[in-house]
Amino acid sequence: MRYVLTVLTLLATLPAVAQVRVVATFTDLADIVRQIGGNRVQVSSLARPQDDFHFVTPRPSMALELSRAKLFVRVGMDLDLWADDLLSAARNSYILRGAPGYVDCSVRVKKLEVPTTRVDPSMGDIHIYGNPHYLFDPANAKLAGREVLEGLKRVDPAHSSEYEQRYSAFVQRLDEHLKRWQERMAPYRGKPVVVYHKSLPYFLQRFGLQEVATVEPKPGIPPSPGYLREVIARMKSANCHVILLEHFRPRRFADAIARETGAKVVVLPAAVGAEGTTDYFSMIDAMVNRVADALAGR
Amino acid sequence: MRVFVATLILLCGTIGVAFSAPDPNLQKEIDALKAQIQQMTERLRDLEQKLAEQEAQPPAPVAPVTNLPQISVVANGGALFQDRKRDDSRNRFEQDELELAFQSYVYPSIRFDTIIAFDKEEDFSASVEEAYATIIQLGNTPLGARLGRMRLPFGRVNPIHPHQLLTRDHPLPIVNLLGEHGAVSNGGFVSYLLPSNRLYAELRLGLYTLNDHAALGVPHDPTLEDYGAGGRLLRMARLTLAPVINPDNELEFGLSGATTRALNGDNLRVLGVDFQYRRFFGAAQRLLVSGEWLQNRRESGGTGVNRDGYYLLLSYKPDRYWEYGVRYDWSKRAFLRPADDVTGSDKALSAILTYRLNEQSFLRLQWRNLKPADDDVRNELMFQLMFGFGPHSHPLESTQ
Repeated sequence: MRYVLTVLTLLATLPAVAQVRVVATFTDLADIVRQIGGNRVQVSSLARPQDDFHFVTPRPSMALELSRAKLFVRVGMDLDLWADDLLSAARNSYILRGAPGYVDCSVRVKKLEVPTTRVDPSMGDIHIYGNPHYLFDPANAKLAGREVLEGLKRVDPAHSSEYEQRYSAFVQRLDEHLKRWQERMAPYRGKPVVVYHKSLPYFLQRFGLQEVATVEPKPGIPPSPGYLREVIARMKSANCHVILLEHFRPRRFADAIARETGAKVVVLPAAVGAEGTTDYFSMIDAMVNRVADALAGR
Repeated sequence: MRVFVATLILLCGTIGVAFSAPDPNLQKEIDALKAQIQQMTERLRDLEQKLAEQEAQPPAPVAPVTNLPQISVVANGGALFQDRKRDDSRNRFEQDELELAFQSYVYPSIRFDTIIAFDKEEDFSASVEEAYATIIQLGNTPLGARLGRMRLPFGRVNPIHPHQLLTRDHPLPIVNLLGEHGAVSNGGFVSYLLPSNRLYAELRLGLYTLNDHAALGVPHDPTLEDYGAGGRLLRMARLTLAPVINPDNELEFGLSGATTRALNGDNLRVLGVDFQYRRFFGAAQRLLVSGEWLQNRRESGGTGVNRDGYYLLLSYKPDRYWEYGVRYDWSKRAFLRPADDVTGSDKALSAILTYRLNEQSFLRLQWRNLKPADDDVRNELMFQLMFGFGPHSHPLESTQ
């Protein structure tokens, strides 16, 4: 009897299910995978919540994560271009581009700001496939989730129906939240805002806000004093009182503008895990609430 | 009267029963309508989802789809100012090198990199600096391979292209013990990634033919050609270890060894130990400490002479634009022959300031106080301009 109990105890300590190892490039994407995969997946993110999307340093520990992954999930559109060096170092052909374990979540997204002319560095850090920050529109999270679902079904077909159910529940929950977020933002449709970097066009489009200027003159280029004066003038003429910046951006330029215009600087959690957010819903929740509060003058 | 009262009571009772009992048909109809609403809600959600997906088709590409490789250009130049008046390169602006890279996958798990360099040492005539195929995974094994012409994957600095270094110059032990511009060779290696959860451990075993004699500490001088191993086979091994600590800290250790035989029959051996610690704070903010120790050994007629050197580098990046660094170099010079042997050591202290314009372009200023073993102390101010455009990437070991 004692042996039986010992064996049972040992069995109880084993993981309940064999989990699919998934590596996502960013924390918000990792959370979407978690929502759809449930306890069937073990997810990690290469970037930390505090990282700037564009400047993540590839390192050996990340290659190690990828070497054991069955599914690699990326934002795509060259936002996580730094992950390509890691894919080469990971010795895992199952997750290389075109393989079953490779998921690019941007495939179904309707892209904004796709360049229509020749692109070069004189325009700043332009993404040639369009603006890659599509996950700030919750409707796009459904499309990204759909890609994740297809990926999970490819690498773990035995649990397809479970993933389907979880995806449906995720979509339903998103729809409910989206309705609430849109109601919260409805009074502020058409309101002008200034953004630090061109990371929020999807968010602004979803909630009907108007971008009157960016703190950076061109993506990735720090502003000069002359340009800041221009932004201040534009804000005054547009009667704009809100400056939005992601949590990892330096505040000094936004604060300088705010001192001149009396505008409110709103720091947005742009990654799950930043500013106390715990999942994709709480991240968008915090973004919506902070923007709505600022636009309401609170 | 009794009959009337009884009839009235019966009538009231009947009406009461008729009004109090729910009509089963009515309830059925309500349930059916609820089911219809449920179905319609689900159908509506499906249709909305389909519509969103149809609307979300990617726009037509703005340029025709091509299968061109990634093409990039990197220009590395600058100026040297120094207080040693008899040096020819003093107070001059110079373009050091121009790098043209073509990089592409040529097969599902095979990538090919070609780097064409136009170097000032060669009067800017084109030469192939690197051209190699990387086999990312051999079958389903944790083995990979690289074949072709490449910077020898020895130590931490040698595999890195000059424009990727955190300093303007190569550290003294690299120059003195591995080669003025590092070591470039034809050949290849097989690499094995240890399947471990907590330790990145990669072993590389390679065979190369040194492309010219000016490597492993032998200077560029035709009269010294016999002391080099140009054309000879070189065996090399490298072990990289990186224990997984946490997402904010990264520690790497490396052990390298290479052996070959010089044209004059001397045995040559170079050993290296290196480390790199990186602490990542907020966005793009990091502290880096790295160092490397090298030993060059020449064995001739049963006796061997060891020469060693090391450098230590401290670099701090407070944000994505600025980077501050300090480096200390100490190195002996490789032994060739007793006649012109220098037994003393070269020393240098450098302070480095870098401003990054974007991911591929930067401006750099480096002050170096150099104490050569056989010459006067000098102060140098090196200015570096690095511009790059086009998608350009290097292997993981090059990232700092």
